[in-house]
Amino acid sequence: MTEILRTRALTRSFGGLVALRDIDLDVREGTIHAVIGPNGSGKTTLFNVISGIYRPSSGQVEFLGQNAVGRAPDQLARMGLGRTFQSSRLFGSMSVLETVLVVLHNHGMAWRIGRAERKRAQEIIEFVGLGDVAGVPCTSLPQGQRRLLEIAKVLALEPRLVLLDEPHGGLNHAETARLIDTIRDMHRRGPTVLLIEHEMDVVMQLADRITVLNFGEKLAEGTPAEVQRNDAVVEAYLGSAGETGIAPPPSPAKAAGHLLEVRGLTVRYGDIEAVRGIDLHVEAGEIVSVLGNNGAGKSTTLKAISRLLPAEGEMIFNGENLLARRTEQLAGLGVALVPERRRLFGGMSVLDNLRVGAHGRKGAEVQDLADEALELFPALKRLVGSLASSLSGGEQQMLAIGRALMSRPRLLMLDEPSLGLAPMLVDQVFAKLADINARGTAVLLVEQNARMALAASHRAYVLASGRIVAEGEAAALAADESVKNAYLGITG
Amino acid sequence: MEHARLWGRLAATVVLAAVLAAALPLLVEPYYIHVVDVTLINLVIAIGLNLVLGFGGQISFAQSAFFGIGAYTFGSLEAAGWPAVAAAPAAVLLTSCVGAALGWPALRLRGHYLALATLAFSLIMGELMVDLDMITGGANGMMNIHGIGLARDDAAMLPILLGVAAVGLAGSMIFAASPAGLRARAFRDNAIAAQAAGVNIRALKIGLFVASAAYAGVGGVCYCALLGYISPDVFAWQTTFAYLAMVVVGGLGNNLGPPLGAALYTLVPEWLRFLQEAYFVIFGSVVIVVIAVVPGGMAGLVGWLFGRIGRAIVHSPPGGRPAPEARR
Repeated sequence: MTEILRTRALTRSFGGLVALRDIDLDVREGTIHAVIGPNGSGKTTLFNVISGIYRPSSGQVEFLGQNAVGRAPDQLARMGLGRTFQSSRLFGSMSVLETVLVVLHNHGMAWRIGRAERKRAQEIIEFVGLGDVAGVPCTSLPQGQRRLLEIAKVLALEPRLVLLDEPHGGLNHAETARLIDTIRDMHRRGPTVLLIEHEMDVVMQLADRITVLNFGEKLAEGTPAEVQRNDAVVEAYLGSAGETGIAPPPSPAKAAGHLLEVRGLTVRYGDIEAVRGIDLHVEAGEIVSVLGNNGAGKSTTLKAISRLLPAEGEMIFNGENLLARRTEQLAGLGVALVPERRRLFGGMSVLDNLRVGAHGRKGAEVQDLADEALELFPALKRLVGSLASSLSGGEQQMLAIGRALMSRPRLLMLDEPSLGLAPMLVDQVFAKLADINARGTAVLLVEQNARMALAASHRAYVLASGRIVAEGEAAALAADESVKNAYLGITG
Repeated sequence: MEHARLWGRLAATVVLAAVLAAALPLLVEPYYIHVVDVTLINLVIAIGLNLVLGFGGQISFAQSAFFGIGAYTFGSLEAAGWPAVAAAPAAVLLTSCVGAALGWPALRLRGHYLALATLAFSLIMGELMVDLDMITGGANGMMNIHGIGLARDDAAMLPILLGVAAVGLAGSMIFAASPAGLRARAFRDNAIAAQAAGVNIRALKIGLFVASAAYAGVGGVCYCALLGYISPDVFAWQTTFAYLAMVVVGGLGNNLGPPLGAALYTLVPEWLRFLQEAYFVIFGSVVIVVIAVVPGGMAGLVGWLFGRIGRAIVHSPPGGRPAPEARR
């Protein structure tokens, strides 16, 4: 078998951040090859470099035996390299049929749309199962059909290689099954498939070969069976807790009522139910984590509690109905959020970032709080005058937590605090969470790094497709195979 | 079926132009013939802007400059002794080349930056028209341009300008229905997805600038031929917003848009002339209302009305009362 795509020492950095480092990838003609890895491991960057959207900082890409570096995306597309995007990129003014016709007429001097192309477009649309909606504006399609339209667009290129970026993102079970069938059918028609996927069941069902990325580097490669057995891969997904010495914090004393109580929480994005009627609660002084796959609804749950998303159900914090409050009022109630990707005020100094977090407190008290935060994070002390944007990822995470603590919250919520952090920094951040909790602050944590989160928590909830599939004491869940299943698709 | 629709529209355009050419001189006073002539020149320029902005989604404030380049080139070549049949295509060609030259650096620019760059281009050209007085006649402009010998003969120019505008509109209609038109819309809707679909958006963008410049160049030649003189204030950078208003109020990316917008922009001020300066207030308010209330512009409104009438007829049961769906 020959390689249809080869990369050698492929590296791409953004400023100081190296998103991809020395990637050697060989995709054999006729295979389905999957790229997996945690959030921020460089999967989409890899696709963007291969498909010509980004230029590599160094290294080579060969497609069909020809150098692909420096070629424009449309040139590569016409050579037979098709790709889809993580979120569907629609031609908003077009019908399904027109969308496919664009691809069939992507170059040339024809002054009218050909009869043959019209027929071919119709065939492709029927092949992916959109025959009934050919004339419908593509913006009116539900998510599942949008994904199928992406496949139709790619097929119209008559590609030799198809890159699928999380093709099933946001789909329900039935839609996912339909999509997997379509991908298989497409593959049978000839093209090689390279796919990024978080849902391990999907990868295990489809892939002949898997490459695992972690922090921009190739961590492992092999058949699905080999990758599943690879300890390094299990570590990359489930984290490295165990040798880190994070002790489970002592359980808090039982209080009279729940600090936070959520009942029947439902959140919709358009037609998609991202969170479907979940119940959860946090006691005063407790650390609770919410775990689950990408797209399971973890961050959505946290955003809904922070009132950043419209939601249905009941949310009571300390006797207050949160649904009647706006996001900016939560700090005053004693709820603080450390958002995903930290959202610091990049153009402000470390000290000013902390001051902004102090929510309406007076001068002397702000100074005390800032001192307290810097005491907790000594690494920030020498950086008080530096701009937040100049900090490293780990320092930024510390600052984001410090800023949230400035409002003296009773409940601290964190969205993926370990995202994009090197393992050592992850350990530090979790150790700090234990410190913060020891001072009486309850913590609600959303995390991909399940093993680490479980080690640091009292209790946990596991989400899948917007529902809670497991809950209980963290230690019990850590020993439970169902958590592993939800994460790695390892059965038995 | 799509082709039948295109042919129908082309035929309707030709018939309408012929009817107007025959009927207008009988129906309206000579002064209004002049107003219609000016409207038709504005229409040609607006069609060009609709190609780049309406179909291609690329903001351009360069239209007044292209208009001026076409007019001054034509005037200068005639003054140098060229016959009109040679000077006219040469002027359009030169304007198109300037369009390509502007499109090239504009490849790197999008959105606000492209708007500023094209506006700066209009500013520079406006200054040059005044400052290069050896060629352009400076602030006085050029007098006694022979054109095609019909200068200030509004009645004789009417059928010619109707013909030019009809051909221009037909060109835009054919473009919109063609694969290139589809590619332009794909580029406008989502540039990265268009590239992933294999569309060369660099060539497309330059092509759109060239086309918009060519239409404005034709407008410049027609302006010389109609008036017999030009002065720099007609091509000042401020006037680029007039063309912008025409295509936005008329309806972006819709071939009905430029005719409706050019007509509204040129005719309504005439009707409101009795208000004197106050008409700016009325006209400005109309523009704001159309932009805020009717996102598809007047063309979108017309399409919507026709759609409703069409549905009402289709859904009408024999009794004549509209079915519930038609009332929605």
